[in-house]
Amino acid sequence: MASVKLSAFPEPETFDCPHCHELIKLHDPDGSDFCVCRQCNSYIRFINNTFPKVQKQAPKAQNQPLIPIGTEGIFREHKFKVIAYFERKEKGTKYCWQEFLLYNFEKGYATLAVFDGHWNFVIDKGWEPTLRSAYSDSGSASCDGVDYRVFNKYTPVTIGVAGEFDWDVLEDSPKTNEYIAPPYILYRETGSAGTKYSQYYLGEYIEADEIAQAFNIDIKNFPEKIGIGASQLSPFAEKFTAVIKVAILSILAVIGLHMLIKTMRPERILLNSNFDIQFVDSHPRHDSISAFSPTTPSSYDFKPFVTSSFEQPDENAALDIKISSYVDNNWLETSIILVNEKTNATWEITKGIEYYHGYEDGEYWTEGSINADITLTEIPKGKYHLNIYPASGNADSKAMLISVVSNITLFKNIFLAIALICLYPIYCWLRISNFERKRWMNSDYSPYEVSEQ
Amino acid sequence: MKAFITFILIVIGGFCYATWNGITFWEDSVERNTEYHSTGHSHGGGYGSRFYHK
Repeated sequence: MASVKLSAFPEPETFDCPHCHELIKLHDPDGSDFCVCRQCNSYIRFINNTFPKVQKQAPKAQNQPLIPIGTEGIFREHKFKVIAYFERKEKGTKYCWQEFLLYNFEKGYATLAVFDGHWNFVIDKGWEPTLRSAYSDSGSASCDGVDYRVFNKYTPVTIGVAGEFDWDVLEDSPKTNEYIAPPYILYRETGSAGTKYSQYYLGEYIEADEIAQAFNIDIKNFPEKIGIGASQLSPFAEKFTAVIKVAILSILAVIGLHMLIKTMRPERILLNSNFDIQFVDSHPRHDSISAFSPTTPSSYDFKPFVTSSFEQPDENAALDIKISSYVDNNWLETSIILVNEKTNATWEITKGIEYYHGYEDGEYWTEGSINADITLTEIPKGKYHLNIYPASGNADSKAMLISVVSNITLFKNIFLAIALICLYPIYCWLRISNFERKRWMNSDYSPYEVSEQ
Repeated sequence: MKAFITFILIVIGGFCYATWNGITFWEDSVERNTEYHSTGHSHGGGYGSRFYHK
């Protein structure tokens, strides 16, 4: 077992390789049970913790370790020394990754694992006691209140090794399940060191520059990232919670400010009157039908009329003009001109109402409405009246209710403000969603539908 | 995040200004004439606004 609960790194010791007599330096002489000769690659085991015996040839690492063995650094407020380097692959696949075994004199081993330029800092229950209560099934896992989803299942095989360690790395091929909850990744290893038990390890996604700084390695030497790491956190996910909070507070602010403005500028009814609609038949028919039926389609000239004057007391206000008429299977259209009696400024708008109903195929149906609303914005303070120019399909429409209300609630403004506030959170969410889809393309256990190519 | 908060403040400021001054978007199709309203509509038989001034 690695030496732990010490106050400093143990004093390194050297010995001669039993095979090639190369001088081998051990950084944890009491704790390391295995080491590899860097000259002849002999896989050496220490019998009774002292006598070195060559067991076999270790597979030679294909690459020089990015962080040389023996390098010390302070990472996450702990002193570490790199004491071993492993090159591993998934059994039966071409996927390879590298691991750097870190030794800390207080708590033991931790690991830096890198795959396609994506780094994870991996610790065991000695570092994270909550791992003792971790549990999992084939699809999910849970640890310390965090739920994880299975991402990968494989059996690792060591294909290159250097340095020293306290277990038989070459015989260690546990069945491994990876569960992710970015930036964390939970490893469940079953069958490690000949046991049937499962061991859990917790990994956290680490940016390369943090490692480079900790071990004083030039960042330029680090491998470039390829694709998306299993436990990599979307850059938008990091700030998404804060963005949502700001957005919710902003929406509440919009609603609050709207209520405040409504209190300071309450709605005012400026006009609410019924008007008779008068018409003249400009082309009267002198046949028997028109004489008995005033609703027969014909050509009518409706008389324009003027409403009483009303005062708009606020500097600028939005006006709602509502027109109502009891049209029955008929339509009514009117041009309305709002006239400022002092400046002669006008606002002209044409609005129609229509209401049809009937009985067809055993069902009653209706269409349209007897009301219509018009919103006029930014109407200055002043005295106004309305010029009304009605028209209708027949002479049935005899009255029109017209009301004018100022300082109406401009729901469009509220909706637009909320929509604008939600733009960036929606954008973040889409980016996160896209990021997740890309991440899960590397997994056989994707929760997304996989399109067949 | 700073840019987002700045954007939010602009949106809220614009909202307050528009709501206070009765400005909205997508208003009904209005023909504004701040000088003199001439005839030209089809239903009134050619009455201009001056005709109704009291």
